[in-house]
Amino acid sequence: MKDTAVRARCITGIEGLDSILGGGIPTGSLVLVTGVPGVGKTSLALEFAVRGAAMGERSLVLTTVERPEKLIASVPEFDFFDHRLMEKGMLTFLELSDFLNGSSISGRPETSEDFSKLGENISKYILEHSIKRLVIDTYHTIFYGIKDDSIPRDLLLTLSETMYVKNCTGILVADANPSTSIESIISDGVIILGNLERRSDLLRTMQVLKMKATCHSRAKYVIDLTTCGVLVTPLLRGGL
Amino acid sequence: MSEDVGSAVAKRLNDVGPSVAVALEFPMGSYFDVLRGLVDDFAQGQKLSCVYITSAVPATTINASLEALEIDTTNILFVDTISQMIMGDMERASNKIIYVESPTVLENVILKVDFLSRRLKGAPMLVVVDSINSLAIHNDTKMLSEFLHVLISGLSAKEAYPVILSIKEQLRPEVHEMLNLVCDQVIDLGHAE
Repeated sequence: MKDTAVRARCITGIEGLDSILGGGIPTGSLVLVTGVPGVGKTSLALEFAVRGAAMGERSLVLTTVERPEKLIASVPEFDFFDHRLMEKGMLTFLELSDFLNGSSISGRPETSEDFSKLGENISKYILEHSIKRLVIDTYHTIFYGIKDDSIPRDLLLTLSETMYVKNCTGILVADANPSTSIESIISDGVIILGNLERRSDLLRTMQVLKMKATCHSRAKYVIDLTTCGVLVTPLLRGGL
Repeated sequence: MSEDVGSAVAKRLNDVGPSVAVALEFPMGSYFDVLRGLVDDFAQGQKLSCVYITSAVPATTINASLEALEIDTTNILFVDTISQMIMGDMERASNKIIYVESPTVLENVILKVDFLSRRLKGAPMLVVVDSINSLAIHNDTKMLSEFLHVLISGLSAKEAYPVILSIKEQLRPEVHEMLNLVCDQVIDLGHAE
């Protein structure tokens, strides 16, 4: 029955994106946010988590490269970021090593057992802490030095299943190729952030390439990263 | 004459009310009278905040001119589209001015207005585009009409007062036609003497 039922929407809180998606991301979806460096992937993902926490949905941000405090410092200082959300446990930042229980000396998963444990521990955390929003920033860097393609795929399948069953909505920040990567195939949604050069101007753009169970615009929009969050406006076509 | 133009601007805008896009066409010689009418008589009379998009001269120059006219600039916020392009001085520390790379990045102008509107927390506002002539130097008419359409639609939903300034001596016929198309009212404030 669950498959045929209309899934509730997870309101991202990013007004322009919710409008494009007709109200938000279907709850329990795993969405890939991909694009070249500097286009606003982390800003968008963090806003998703912070807005969710402010709306009463427990949010977890898993950082895989930077320390949480450095990650927070790297995005515009959101006006709506209330630090009490962290004190209340509504918004939690954790690092990769927090999910490995000391099984890896480097603090990063190295073996297939480490990756299995990582998937299991994230799922367990989501269940035990009633997490409704998950952000992993960034997904690809978890697998540095890993040659076996089945490892990222298996972790993704584990996460995807967990998200769906637990009604938790997730954003994977990545620099995956949206046309060919396994992440874009398995994910329920793909949002591409990019740069558009027009004459000598460089615009930051956003495009929803895929969002299952959603009738959405596939047009490009121009975005701005501000202290009020990610703002969105249609790309003007007149000069193109 | 000065008082007449300023009062006429305020009166006409008071008559049309919010969410109505108005183009003001006037001779160059009336420029400062129109500004006084807009910012001093109308906006302050209606207790509106003002978002001033400047593409002709830097925001600092407009601000200084208004102050020279003894107009209170406390409630004016600027979106400056020209200073960065001409590599002019920019007051980065100022909370009053937001810079856009160039007048060709019209989407970013819309986004900055949206940002300022959020900063004003939905307070009623007058949004001035100064001017369509200078924007037309950098953009073709199709692009401009689309820009104004998107900008005006967003502002109308917020019950703001969008006003587009147009200097008669610099107005190309196709831009005048475009203003007639996208604005709800085009107000003629007289001819050059």
